[in-house]
Amino acid sequence: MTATTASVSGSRVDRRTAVRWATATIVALAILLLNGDRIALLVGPNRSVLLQATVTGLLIGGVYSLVSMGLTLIYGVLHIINFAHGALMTIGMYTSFLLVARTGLDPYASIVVVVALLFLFGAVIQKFLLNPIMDQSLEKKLLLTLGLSIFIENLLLVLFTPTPKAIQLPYGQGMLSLGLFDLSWPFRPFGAVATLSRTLAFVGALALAGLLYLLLQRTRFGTAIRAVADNPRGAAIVGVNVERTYLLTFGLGTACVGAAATLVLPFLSLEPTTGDAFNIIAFVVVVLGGMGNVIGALLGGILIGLTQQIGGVVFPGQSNLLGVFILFVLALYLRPDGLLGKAKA
Amino acid sequence: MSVDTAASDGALLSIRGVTKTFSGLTALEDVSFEVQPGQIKGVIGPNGAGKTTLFNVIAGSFPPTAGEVLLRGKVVTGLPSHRIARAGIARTYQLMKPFGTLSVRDNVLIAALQRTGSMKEARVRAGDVVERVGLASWADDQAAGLSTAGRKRLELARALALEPDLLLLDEVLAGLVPSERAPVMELLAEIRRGGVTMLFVEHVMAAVMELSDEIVVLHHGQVLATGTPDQVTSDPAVVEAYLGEEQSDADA
Amino acid sequence: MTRLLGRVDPNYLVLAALAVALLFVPFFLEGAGVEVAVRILMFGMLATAWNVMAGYAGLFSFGHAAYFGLGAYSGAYLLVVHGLSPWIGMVVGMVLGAAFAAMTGFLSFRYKLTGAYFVLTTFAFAEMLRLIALNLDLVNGAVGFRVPIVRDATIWDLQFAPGSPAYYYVILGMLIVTLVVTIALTRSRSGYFIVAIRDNEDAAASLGVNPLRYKLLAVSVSGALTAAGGTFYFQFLFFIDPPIAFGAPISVEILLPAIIGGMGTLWGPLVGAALLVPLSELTSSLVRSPPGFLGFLEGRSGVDLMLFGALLVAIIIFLPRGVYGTIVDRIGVSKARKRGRQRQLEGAS
Repeated sequence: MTATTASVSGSRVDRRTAVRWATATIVALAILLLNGDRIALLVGPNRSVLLQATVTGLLIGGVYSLVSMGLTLIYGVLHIINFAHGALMTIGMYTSFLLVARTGLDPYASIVVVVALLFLFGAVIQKFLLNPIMDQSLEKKLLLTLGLSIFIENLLLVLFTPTPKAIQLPYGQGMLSLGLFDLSWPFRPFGAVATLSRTLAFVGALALAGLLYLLLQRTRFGTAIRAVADNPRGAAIVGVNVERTYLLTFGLGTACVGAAATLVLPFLSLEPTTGDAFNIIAFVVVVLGGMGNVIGALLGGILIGLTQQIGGVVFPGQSNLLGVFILFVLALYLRPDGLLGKAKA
Repeated sequence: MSVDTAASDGALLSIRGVTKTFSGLTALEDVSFEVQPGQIKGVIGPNGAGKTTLFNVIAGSFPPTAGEVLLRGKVVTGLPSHRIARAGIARTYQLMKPFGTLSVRDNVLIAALQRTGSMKEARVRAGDVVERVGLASWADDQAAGLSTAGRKRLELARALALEPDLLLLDEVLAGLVPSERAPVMELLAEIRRGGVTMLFVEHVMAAVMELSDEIVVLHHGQVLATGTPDQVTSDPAVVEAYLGEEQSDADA
Repeated sequence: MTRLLGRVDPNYLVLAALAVALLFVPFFLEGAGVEVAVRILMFGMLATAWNVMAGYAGLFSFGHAAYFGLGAYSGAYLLVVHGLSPWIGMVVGMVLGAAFAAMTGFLSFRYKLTGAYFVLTTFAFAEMLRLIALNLDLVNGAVGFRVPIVRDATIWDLQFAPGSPAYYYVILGMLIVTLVVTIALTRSRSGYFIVAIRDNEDAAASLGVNPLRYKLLAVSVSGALTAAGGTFYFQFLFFIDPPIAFGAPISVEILLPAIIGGMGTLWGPLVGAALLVPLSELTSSLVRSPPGFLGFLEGRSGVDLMLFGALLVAIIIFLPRGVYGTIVDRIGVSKARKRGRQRQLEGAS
């Protein structure tokens, strides 16, 4: 019952469960969409708030999925709880910010640079800091990433000061003519507001998540990653360069946060501590989805996004995370292997 | 707490109809036998026969799916392992589990502390057991640094310090070269002389033949045969089970 | 063969000597210096308490702020709302800390949460308490509590002038008690069982040790002692609020000295505190008024923590057993080598 092994993308058993969860979610969403108004009426005076929370939660959930997939990938393969995940995301955000502010580059175009940079960072961190201690305990590795996160966050504090920064999309409101109908944004599903930036973040995150999944399942590189996650020694014997796989995997995980960083910059205010919330949430998602379980992270991200926003309606104020933690603790005790469980029995 | 007078009649350990399945795989099926006080009983069988599973059930690592384990007529089935240890069953592990950061002496101390509340007394007893198994020179060394032979002896020492009525030995000779085996076998004989009942799993046939009063043969989780060493080794079904294994290995 | 020195554990002797030496420290320091000394002793105490659970029992807690905060808020609430002495608050806090530790510990052990799951669960519980406190009017939510200033305060009020050596002596007493408890525990039957469970739970159980009972003992002791530190801190700081009491920073500050000094050793946490607190003070003063070539650092917050982060990374890579822990290890290795040579001389194989 303990999570000693993890399969990064899942075995056949896991896929079946994942399909079940996905179908259930899709069906639930479909019902919601088709009956939005009716359901809205049922929830009484809070309906518009609740509806908005659902939409916002769903959209941000996509980003959580992407961030968490990176984290769970790192755990599944390297057995490292990367506590610097959030801090690295903040680096990504500041990089994108600098590019936009200094060169007028479109924030979404900066994704290429940021992803490449974060990938590089990740590989460097793995090679020079984590490789030397790969055989140490889980806690020691966690502490190293913790030290790293403290260092990074405070470095950003020194460099950029605590003053929050933000960017505005010049095309936050607009219209596009698509032949038969006109698409205008911000979008208004059932009266709730879905800004372009958040919607793009959602779509982009899911697209990248899908890409990551395909990479893991369909490419040789992905297979190597899964092999190392499952059995490093066995993988080495069949010729996989395990150390290089570690490097690339960590880099891939951090690349995920890099992408997520670019996607959220347009609608979040940027401070050295912005990544913290994503860090905590990613951990909850990863545990919820099963540590090392990429599909679980995907679904868990959406679930947590919804829980956070809807929970924020129930627990107003600064504590929209409370609902998240309650769910976390419940899930931990009801299904310690995560809602989707370990992939292998 | 039930006492079944009909079947136990003085047996120290009674295994009755023990079955163990792991999600579809049947590791043990309706295994029954008894161990009389002072007896040395060997459990043999081809790989995968269920020997270690049997030990795990007896020692409380997990409960059987069905069946009972009785110690001196008292039902101990499904009790957690620490309760079973306190009841008088000590076990060694095939894959040894030393307390790595503790010294050899302190490893044994842990067991000795079950038998006496006094730290001082427990230390004395632990020291005695350490000497008895021949690890006196390593008494203050960290257990993690011991050789395989040393670790085997440590397993034995810890089990002995528990002063058990029944000793479960899981392949205590495995991984030892012949020169290392003789002293261990001598030790086992000496333990037996001290009145400790033993149930042991072993692949080293010479040891099994020499030490056992009786042998239980397991195959595919079932009891294939029981009897004296001579009876069992001349049982055609047993021979076939072992040879059959060799045959299929040869074909593979 | 070496045997334990006589009947008295040498650690008690070291503690006695240390206690006596520490009695004189306030005579050499003025106000601000005394405050630094108080912090060293306090974090030394907290890290030692953490070490009982993480070092000796092998249960790595990333959420010790939960117990710390419970102690702080117990004292704060009982003092501010009910006018009870902080010492009573401390006892209540210790009970709460132990109970919470036992409860959350039980849930984790019962459901076999280990490794990463266990660590993250401890973190989650601390965060939950923080969020609950933020929203609980009973404890003033985000506003927190302030120590009501009492004229002619006595030791019973646990309130002295800021910078007063009285705080120092109180925390010194608490540190000594914590160390005595730790030494006694590690030397006792329970202590040996706790370590055995850490090294190999299955083997310990097979030797008659009830793992649940002793793990609960370790976490309860750790929780109680940490809570006591929390109560003290409120009195020392004159203020508490949810982020200070239950936030991740305090959890990190509690475990860092133990890691830097050496997890699983008796003196490691205190050594770590003695290294980290002065370092933090040094960097802070450096940032306030830096020498010429470091002028760009002036006034920038975050420099000291940057240093901490880097230090933590460096220690993990180069001295994973901590500063004190590495020394202990080296001594142990050389002793073992001597024994090996002895064995060769005696002809044992």
